[in-house]
Amino acid sequence: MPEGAYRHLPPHLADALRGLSIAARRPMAGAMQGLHRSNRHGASVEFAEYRPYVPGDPPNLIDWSAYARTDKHLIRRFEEETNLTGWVLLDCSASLAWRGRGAVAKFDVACGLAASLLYMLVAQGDRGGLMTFGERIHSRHAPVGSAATLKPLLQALEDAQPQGKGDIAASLHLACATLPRRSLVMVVSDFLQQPLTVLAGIRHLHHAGHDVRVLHVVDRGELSLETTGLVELDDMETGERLEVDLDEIRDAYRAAVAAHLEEIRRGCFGMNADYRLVLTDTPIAEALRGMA
Amino acid sequence: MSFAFLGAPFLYLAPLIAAPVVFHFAWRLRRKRLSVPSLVFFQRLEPHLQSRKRLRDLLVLMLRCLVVACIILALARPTWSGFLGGSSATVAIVVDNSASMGLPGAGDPGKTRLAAGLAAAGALVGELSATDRAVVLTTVADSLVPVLTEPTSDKTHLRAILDAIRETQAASQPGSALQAAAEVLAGATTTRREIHVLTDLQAHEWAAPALGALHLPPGTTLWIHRLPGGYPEHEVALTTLEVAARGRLAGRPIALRVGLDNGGSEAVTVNLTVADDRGHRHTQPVTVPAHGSQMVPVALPATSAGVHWAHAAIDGDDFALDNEGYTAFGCEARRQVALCGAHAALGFLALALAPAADGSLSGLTTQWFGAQDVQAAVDSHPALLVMTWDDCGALDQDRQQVLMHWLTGGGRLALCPRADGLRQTPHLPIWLGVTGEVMDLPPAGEPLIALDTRDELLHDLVEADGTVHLDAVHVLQGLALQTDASFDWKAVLGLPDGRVILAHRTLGAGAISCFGIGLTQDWSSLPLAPAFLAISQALALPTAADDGILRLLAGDSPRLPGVHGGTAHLVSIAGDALDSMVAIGSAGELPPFPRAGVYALTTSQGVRGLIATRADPGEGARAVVAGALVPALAGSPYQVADCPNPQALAEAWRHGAQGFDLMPALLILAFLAVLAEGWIANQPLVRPAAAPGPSASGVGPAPGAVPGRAGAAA
Repeated sequence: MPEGAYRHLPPHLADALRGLSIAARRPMAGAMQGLHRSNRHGASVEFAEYRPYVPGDPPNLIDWSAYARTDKHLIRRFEEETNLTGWVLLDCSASLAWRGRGAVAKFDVACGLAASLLYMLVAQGDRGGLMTFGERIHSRHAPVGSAATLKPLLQALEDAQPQGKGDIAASLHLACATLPRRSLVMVVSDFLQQPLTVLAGIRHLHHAGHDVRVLHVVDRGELSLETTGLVELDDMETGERLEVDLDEIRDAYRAAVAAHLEEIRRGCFGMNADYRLVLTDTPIAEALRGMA
Repeated sequence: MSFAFLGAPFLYLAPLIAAPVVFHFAWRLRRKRLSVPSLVFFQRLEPHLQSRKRLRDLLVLMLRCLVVACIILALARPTWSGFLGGSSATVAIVVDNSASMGLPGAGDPGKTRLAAGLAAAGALVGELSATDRAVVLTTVADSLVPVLTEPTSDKTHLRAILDAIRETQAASQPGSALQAAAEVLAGATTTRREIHVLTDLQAHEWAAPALGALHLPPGTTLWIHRLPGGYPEHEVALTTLEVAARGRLAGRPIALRVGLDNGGSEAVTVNLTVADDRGHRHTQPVTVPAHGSQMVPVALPATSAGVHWAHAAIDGDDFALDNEGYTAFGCEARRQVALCGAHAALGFLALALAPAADGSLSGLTTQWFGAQDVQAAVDSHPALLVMTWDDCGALDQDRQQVLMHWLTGGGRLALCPRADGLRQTPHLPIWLGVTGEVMDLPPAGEPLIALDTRDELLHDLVEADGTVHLDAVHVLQGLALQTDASFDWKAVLGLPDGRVILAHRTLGAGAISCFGIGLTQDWSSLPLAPAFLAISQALALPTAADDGILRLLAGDSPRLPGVHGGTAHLVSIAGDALDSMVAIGSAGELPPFPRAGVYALTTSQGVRGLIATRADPGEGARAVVAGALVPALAGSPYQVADCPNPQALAEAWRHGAQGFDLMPALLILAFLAVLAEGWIANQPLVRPAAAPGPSASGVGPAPGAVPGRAGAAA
């Protein structure tokens, strides 16, 4: 990979990502031997369970030591370890183009997170795929497993632009229909939609057996709303306008933002989905630390 | 029911009601544009945030406009009369006390319009509440009526004023009366202000051109209550009372001219009585033709030098208040005529000038001097110096200088040919500017005629139709006067062919009269004619100097020349009893005199004078203003109502007394609007949100927080 070829995965970021890994918390369905627990039993060294011998089983699988203790023919089963396929679902709606107090826009951070996740997956021998969405699925890039094949995905990130309306829940439902079962799904978005709607999409992914990771990109300016006076607010996605005196509603706004974040966080917690709030002024490597 | 604004000028502030709207939009122009990722958080605050804000802004805007509108309206002090609750009132009752109000009213027989008006005013006073205040004014200022400078609630006092009001002999001055009422009401603090005028609306006074803007205080209602009544069947008014300007000398009868006017359709015979201050009294019947006038000459008996007055009155018609008048005049002492020359040379002139030696008939006495004794004659200060052409032409230069100097200083000279024969054509001094030419006349002579009937020498001979009758006087011989055109001679008598027989001119302050005939029957029949007396005495009688006596109509406001401010003490000498101290205006104006009389005046500056007044002759006229439009009040708001009986005015007052001042209500409304505006403006657009769950930053979960796991990325 040439030095500085990709804006969202500069060399210093790639260096910072070394040593970081992503581990699935649910059994994955992989095609190759890998580092992750599979939903199938296989020949790893990880003991899984005993089961009674049934005719047809190879006799060499009978645990004779157990037979000596229990006088039963038991077959010892071991967990299979497989590689995983990780899918990065990147929100490309217009709201991510907003830049508040941070040095970069939310979309830059989101792309950085996506590139980093893909890089981490490939680096640990797994496969990573990319989907971009807004109001619907914009693009789908098949999973790749090597640095060489990662380039088109990185290039796709370079080419992506935040635009149009976003419908996170609908996009997640669509993605769920196309994703293979038991994948690692990492959703990178600002989740500016009603929490219950967003959580419905995440729940769909979770029920499909995916290990869902949620990376919530937020600018500190969104949280504090420090502009004062009478303003006419302009929704970047819908163009809808709202005239309001910010001084009058600031406290309520901050409370509403906090409630929004908390609701999404609690929803993810309820579905055992990993939730990370990523502020745009947080280094990406720091934000991804502990993804294992 | 009426609606009025007591502070109407504040309504000009009405555009300020839109000020909150202007400020609102100006404030909106200053709003900033801010792009936000999504409005989801704002919608989370309040789904109807925008509509709630618009509704609140609209309500606040309306309330602010309401506050401004209420304050402006409150300052304008709207008053709603005739609907709700009562309010205190200040009322000016203006009673028409002009002479016409002495005509019969429409009610009880024998009751005048003024009596009906006073009864109505009394009923109105009776309706006043304890908090109402009133003032009574008259359309003709009358010293008999107490003057209120401020409204009072003392009904006893008000009734006493009404009781003091009597008919005057003057015409109404509605303008000054209404202005006085407006000034009184301007200082009133009550919300209801009314002017009630009780009048017969006589056209003589109210159909006059507009009085101009009355400057009524805002919210003042002007009511004109028309008092109906009957009219006299026979009405003769005294229209003229003049004293002759010439010949007011002691011992000489004083000529008066009394004019009578009959406005009725039938000829009326009235008795004219003329009296003077010495007790002389003369009554004569006079018939005045229908719709016509009659000028009656009256000779007052001879009197003494000094100031005198005369009173003329008529009786025999049906309206007495315009039937009398007073005049005053100054009378000089008897004057002397200096006759220079021989008795025969001046003919009958001496006898014509002083028929009685003591001057008891003409006010003139004669004194004879020598033909050349001009200096002595001049030194005797005569009213007239008479000499013949011959004697005048024979004067030496010095005597001519004496004569000319005396004439220039105001002396009067009469010249005539020698009555005892025209010996030769006389030559007069050239500075006289006249010569004579012997006329060749037929034996029967030529008739003598007046060449200028308006000349002052013929004043006493002028008939009512303007002609002068000389009673067929013929000239038998004489000199035709040849006057120098550069000396402004005026021809008085002459022949039909234009030859001048008598002419006169001025010289400085003096006058020169010149006859072309000798003053005996040998020259003409003029000395035998009555006209000769009048013409002769007119030569000697100067026009009376300004005696400083003001002769006015009742109701006129005299003006004292050269007097500015101060006070004047007025005492009546004859007629209306008066003894009062009055204020003099800055231009010397005095209050009007309501009745006929003679009044002596002494100002605080020491100026003395005499004022004689007579009744206004127009007050007996029948014409009144009908309908609801009063021409004199054009340009001012007013209402006309008939007042057939006293109760009508009282009922109108009771109805109008139900008034409601909206100012307190508006102020309360403004206060409530302020409270409501403050409450609505401070209402939060969004309800306080429930406190979120614990988080590291207070705004949500800490970055990197992992639910159910102790991982922390930030």
